[in-house]
Amino acid sequence: MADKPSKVVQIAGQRREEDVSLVDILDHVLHAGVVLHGSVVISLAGVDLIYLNLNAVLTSVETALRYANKELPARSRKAASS
Amino acid sequence: MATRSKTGGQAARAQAKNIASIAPAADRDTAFYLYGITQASDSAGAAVSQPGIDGSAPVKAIACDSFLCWISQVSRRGFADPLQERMEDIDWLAAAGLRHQRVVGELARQAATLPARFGTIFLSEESLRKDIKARRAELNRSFRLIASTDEWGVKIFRAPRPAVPRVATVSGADYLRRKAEEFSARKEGGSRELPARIKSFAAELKKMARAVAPGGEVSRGQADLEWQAAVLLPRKAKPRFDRAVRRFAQASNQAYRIEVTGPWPPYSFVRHGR
Repeated sequence: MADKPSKVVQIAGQRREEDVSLVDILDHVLHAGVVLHGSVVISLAGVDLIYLNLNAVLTSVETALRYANKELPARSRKAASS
Repeated sequence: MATRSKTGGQAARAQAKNIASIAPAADRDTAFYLYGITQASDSAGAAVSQPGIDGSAPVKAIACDSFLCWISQVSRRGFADPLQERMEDIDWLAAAGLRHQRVVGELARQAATLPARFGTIFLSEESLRKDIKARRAELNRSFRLIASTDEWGVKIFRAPRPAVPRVATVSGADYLRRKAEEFSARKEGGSRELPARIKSFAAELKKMARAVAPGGEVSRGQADLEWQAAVLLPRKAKPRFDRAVRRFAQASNQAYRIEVTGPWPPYSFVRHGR
């Protein structure tokens, strides 16, 4: 990876750069990644790895989208582009 | 510090700076949040300056077999145990997602990195080592797949249509039917027939990519999103990719808006181990 993520938007012959949004970041970060130690769960059961099944929270993540498209906190917006 | 690893781990330890100094096992409140895995041979001198997932703990490497596992210490009671609940707190998820990306991004700029799944926590160094060792072969396969590539996100949106006073011209039943169609189209995602222009663009990307994965779950509901994918692109192919994107934008005139984000660490291409 040469640089920090950037975002290029094109319509017809026009090209502009935008800040990478929270949605863009979560799309990749929450997409996958190496899953270690199989599935499941929780320190209470004495299992050494806590693995979070993201499908369980996707509903609320979708509300993150609406949230992110509207009022992204200044902090996150800045962080997303830094 | 207890050294449980065999020769490979020790060799890696000797090569890499910034190896974590692990808290004694007696500390029952310590857990290890994992960001990603690099190859020891490839990451001598690699270091992470970004703070960890909790915003304060430093990120360090643990030598595991022939790999380095990049972790930060988190509190088991204060961080790990309530994690599942916190995942549903959007503000928390946003902040933690950003921190995760900053660490993995910083690593990926220095060495080929397999990102760990968001929210992966081990309760001991020993269990981490054991798991990595058992997965050595598939981790090595993943490193071969991602060598000299970056992940790029591609999204194609229908450009906004001119505002038409539709409500006045359609009946309530038609309106509801159309809404239902839109909803099921969105839900089924790829099963809906794509416009030929997008299909051929997708085929073109596939030819130049090492792999292509469906786009992320988070933006599935984004308004006017027609198609999206994550593309694992050899760095050498980036100019060709840029040309294809530009050609698509020009040829589709005002019908579509195309967004390209990246480079990302290869989050979407290291999915295995279930």
